[in-house]
Amino acid sequence: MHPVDWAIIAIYLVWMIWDGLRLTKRSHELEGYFLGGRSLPWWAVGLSVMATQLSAVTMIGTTGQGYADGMRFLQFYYALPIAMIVLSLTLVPFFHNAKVYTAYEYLERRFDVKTRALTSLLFLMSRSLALGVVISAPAVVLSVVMGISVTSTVLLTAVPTIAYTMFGGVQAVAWTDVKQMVLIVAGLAAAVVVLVLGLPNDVSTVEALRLAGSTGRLQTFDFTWDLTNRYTFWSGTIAALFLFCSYFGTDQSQVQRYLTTSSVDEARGSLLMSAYWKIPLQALVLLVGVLMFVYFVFAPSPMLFNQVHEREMREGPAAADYSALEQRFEAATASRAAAARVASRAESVGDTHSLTVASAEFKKREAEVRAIRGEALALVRKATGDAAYNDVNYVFPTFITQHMPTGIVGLLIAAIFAAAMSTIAGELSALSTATVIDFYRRFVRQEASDAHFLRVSRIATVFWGLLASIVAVWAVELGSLIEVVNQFGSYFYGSILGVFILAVGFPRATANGAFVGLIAGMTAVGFAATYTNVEFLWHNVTGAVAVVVVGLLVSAFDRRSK
Amino acid sequence: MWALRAHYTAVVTRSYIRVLVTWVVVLAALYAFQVLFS
Repeated sequence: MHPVDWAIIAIYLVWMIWDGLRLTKRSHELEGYFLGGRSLPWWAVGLSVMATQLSAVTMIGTTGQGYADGMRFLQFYYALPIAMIVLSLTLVPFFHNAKVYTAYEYLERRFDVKTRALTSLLFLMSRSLALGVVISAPAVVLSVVMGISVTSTVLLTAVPTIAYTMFGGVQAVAWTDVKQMVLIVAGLAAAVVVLVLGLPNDVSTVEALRLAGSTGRLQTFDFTWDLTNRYTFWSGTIAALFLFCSYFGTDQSQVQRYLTTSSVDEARGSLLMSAYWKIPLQALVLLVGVLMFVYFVFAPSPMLFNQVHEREMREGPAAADYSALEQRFEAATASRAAAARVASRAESVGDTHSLTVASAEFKKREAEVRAIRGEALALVRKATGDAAYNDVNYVFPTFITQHMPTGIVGLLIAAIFAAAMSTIAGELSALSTATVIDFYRRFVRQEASDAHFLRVSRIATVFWGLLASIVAVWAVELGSLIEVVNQFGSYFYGSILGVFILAVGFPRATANGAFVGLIAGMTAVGFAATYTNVEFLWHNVTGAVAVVVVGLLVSAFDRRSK
Repeated sequence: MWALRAHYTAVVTRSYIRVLVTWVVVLAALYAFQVLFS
């Protein structure tokens, strides 16, 4: 990387620490530290919520997904606006009027302490592990493209974030999120501009999109009813509705954010911002991936995007096989580019017959390129012993470092850091709040000064930050197991949502009913995950339904026995 | 008081309807995008 790009990254990191630390207004009071004095404007909270959701995994993983698979993943977000309306009508007024610090605190008022403690514990367990992955995934990729160790990239991401979260509390988190969100969107917009300008002169943007569309990469609707298919219109609108209601309605990292607003209307406004902007933003991220695909149709494309593995393959025992594959890959990509040019020319002159023939040829060549890349990935899997190895996460960073102009490279790497930091900060703040409010202040020391609780909160922030950093370094060794850890939280989301549905929607639900229902919900999800091939998104429905049904049955018996 | 509450409910309901209308328009645009470029 050019020194200018290094300088931009350094300036960004220093700016974030300075900006976060100066935003410590009212952070010497508990309500100021955890809830920003309940005075943040809706638009800042709305941007902060979106920044927390848009992690570095989104920046590198989703763009890679767009490159390899197209825009199908967008369907995952179709239910989000509906979830926001449901939450604005139900949980948001409850939480706001209850004047709680955590979502789980409300459960003790409605049910009992054991239900509160269990849900909060589930949050702490799943979030702390997931946070490790949130740090690890970009750290691994950035270490390859920046040429530094994984430990260094973990520290570069985690240390500044821990520092400003620890001192500034949720206020520092929210305001730095706003700036980070602006940087992320600017970075993505710059990537789109560079990608469009990087197309050959005789290929227009419309023709480029048509090429991507011919391979199915612009498919955003799949109406097949298949519970084993992860991304369909139905999983995105039904199963994901439960996931989003749970994530935005019961996950402390999100609830804490809208509790920082001054009124129920402001809280609603912050959620509705995501309802308007999340789908277009995610479409932009995926479009960057699709445009990278078209860009690499015409520009020389590496067979493997992870340079470390590419070097290992060239120098390892399978070098001859790899070299032969590479020759086939070069020939196939050249044929694909030639077919693309013919199709593009036919489209520009309106020759429908030639366009149909050339499009079919392009699709055939694309399938050939894909198959050879598949063989290369299989070689790496054999060499590394990682059966689920894939290099899609390296596509965007490789494009940034090898094809972007100086200055933009620094801006985009800083944007990836920003995406990671905004997520980490939000999660750290929520983990610290749940630890102190739901456990320390509830079970260890109920009466103490704000200063004392703030000291404990800062220690909790550092503790969770260090633990997540250790998990991040350890996760590098996990390889494909990262996916398992990442989905760990989704095994609980539905069940936790079920408890809140009982709390808010069923006045006759009892504390014992909610607790037994929660255990039954998690058992049902565990059973479904172990013995069926149903995709994980549907576990949210299973968990929520099981909790409500079992919870109501147990409540009926409970009331009768009393 | 009743009139004020009715007015507030109408304003909030309108904001939800706006979200729903935008949602339908965005999904329709995405579907058109898919059909146009496939």
